[in-house]
Amino acid sequence: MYNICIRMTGNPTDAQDILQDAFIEAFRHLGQVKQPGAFAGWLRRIVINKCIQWSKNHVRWRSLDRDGMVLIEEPETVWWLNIPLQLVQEEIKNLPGGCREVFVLFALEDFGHREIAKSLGISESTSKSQYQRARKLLRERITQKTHLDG
Amino acid sequence: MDKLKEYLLRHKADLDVDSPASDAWDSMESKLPSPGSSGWVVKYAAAACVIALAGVGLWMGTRGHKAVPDTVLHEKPIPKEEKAPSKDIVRSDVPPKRAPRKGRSQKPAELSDIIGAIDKSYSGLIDYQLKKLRATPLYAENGNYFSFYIEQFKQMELDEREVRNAIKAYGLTNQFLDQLINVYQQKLNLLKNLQTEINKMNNKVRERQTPADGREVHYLNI
Repeated sequence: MYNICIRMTGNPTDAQDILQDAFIEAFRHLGQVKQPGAFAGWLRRIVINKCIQWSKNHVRWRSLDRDGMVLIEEPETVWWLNIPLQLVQEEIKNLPGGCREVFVLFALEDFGHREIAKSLGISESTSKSQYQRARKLLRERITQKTHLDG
Repeated sequence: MDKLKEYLLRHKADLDVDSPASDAWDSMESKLPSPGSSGWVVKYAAAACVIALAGVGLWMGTRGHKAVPDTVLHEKPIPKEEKAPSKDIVRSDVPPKRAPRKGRSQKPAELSDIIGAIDKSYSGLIDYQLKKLRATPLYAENGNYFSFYIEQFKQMELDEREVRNAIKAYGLTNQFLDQLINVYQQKLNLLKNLQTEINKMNNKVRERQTPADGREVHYLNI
C-alpha cells in the first residue's frame, strides 16, 4: 500500500500522510467488509482513491497537445528488459507530477484511460498524452542512468 | 495491451521495494480510534438505555398501572344562551359515576403526599387567577353577566370534591389522579377564559367612551 502511495506522490512524506488517512478511513469503515477475502482489494481501493484525491489537489494539469508537444508513439522496443526493477521504481517516483500519476494508474493499477480521465477530472486525450510522456521520460532517464553506470 | 504495462503488471510485486519510516506505524497507530473509545461507549450507553426502558415498562406493567384511564372526558359545547358571553367554553363530566375497579391503591401516607403536591402546585395557580379576577374592574356589565362562568366554576368544585371522595373511598389510582388533574386544568382554563372575556369587554368600553364619561364599575364575586 505504501508503494502505491509513494509511486503516486513521488515523496515519502505525502505517501505516509495518504497511507495514514487511508488506514484511518479503513478502520472506521471496517464493518463494510463482509468477506475477509475482499479486505485487501477493499483497502487497496481506499488507498488508490486517497491518492487520486491527493493528485486532484496537487497537480496542475495541462494538455500536452495544446502546448505543441505532439507525442509520437515510438516503435515498440522492449528497452526495459534487463533493467533492475528497483531502478524502474526509483524513476517512476522521479517522474514529474501529472504524468507520474497517470503512468502509475495506467501501467500499475490497470486503470483504462477513460477511468483515469474520470477519476482525475481530465480529458481522455490528456491521460493518453501524459502516459506517453511518462514512458518517454522513463526510457530516457533509465537509459541515461544505465549508460552512466556502465 | 501495452507491452510495458504488461511487463510491469507481471513484475509489480518486485517493484514494491519502498517501506515507510519506522516511526510511521507508531504515529498511525496513535491516530487510529481505539476500540474502547467513544463509538463503543455510545453503543453500550444506547443498549443500557433500551434495557432500562424495557425494565421500567415491565415494572409498570406488573404494578397493574394503566396507561389510559377508563373514563374518557366528554367535551361538549356550551348551549348557546341569549346572553352567553363566550361560545368556546367547554367543560367535562369528570366525576366517576360508577365505582372503579379497585386496583392496587397507594398507601395512605403516599396518597396524601401525592395529592398534597398536586394541590400545592395547582391551587397556587388557581388562587392567583382568582385574585386577579376579583381585582379586575368590570366596566361594561355587572358580575351577573358572567354568572355562567361562575356556575361552571362551582360545578367544577363539586366535581373536584367528588373525585376526592372517590379517592378516599377506593384509594388513589391513576384514573382518579388523572381526573383530579383534569378538574384543576379545567378550572384554570375557565378562569383564564373569563379573564380574557372581561378584558375584551373592558377594552371595547374604553374605545367607545370618552374620558369624561362616567363609568359604573363592578367587581366579580367568585
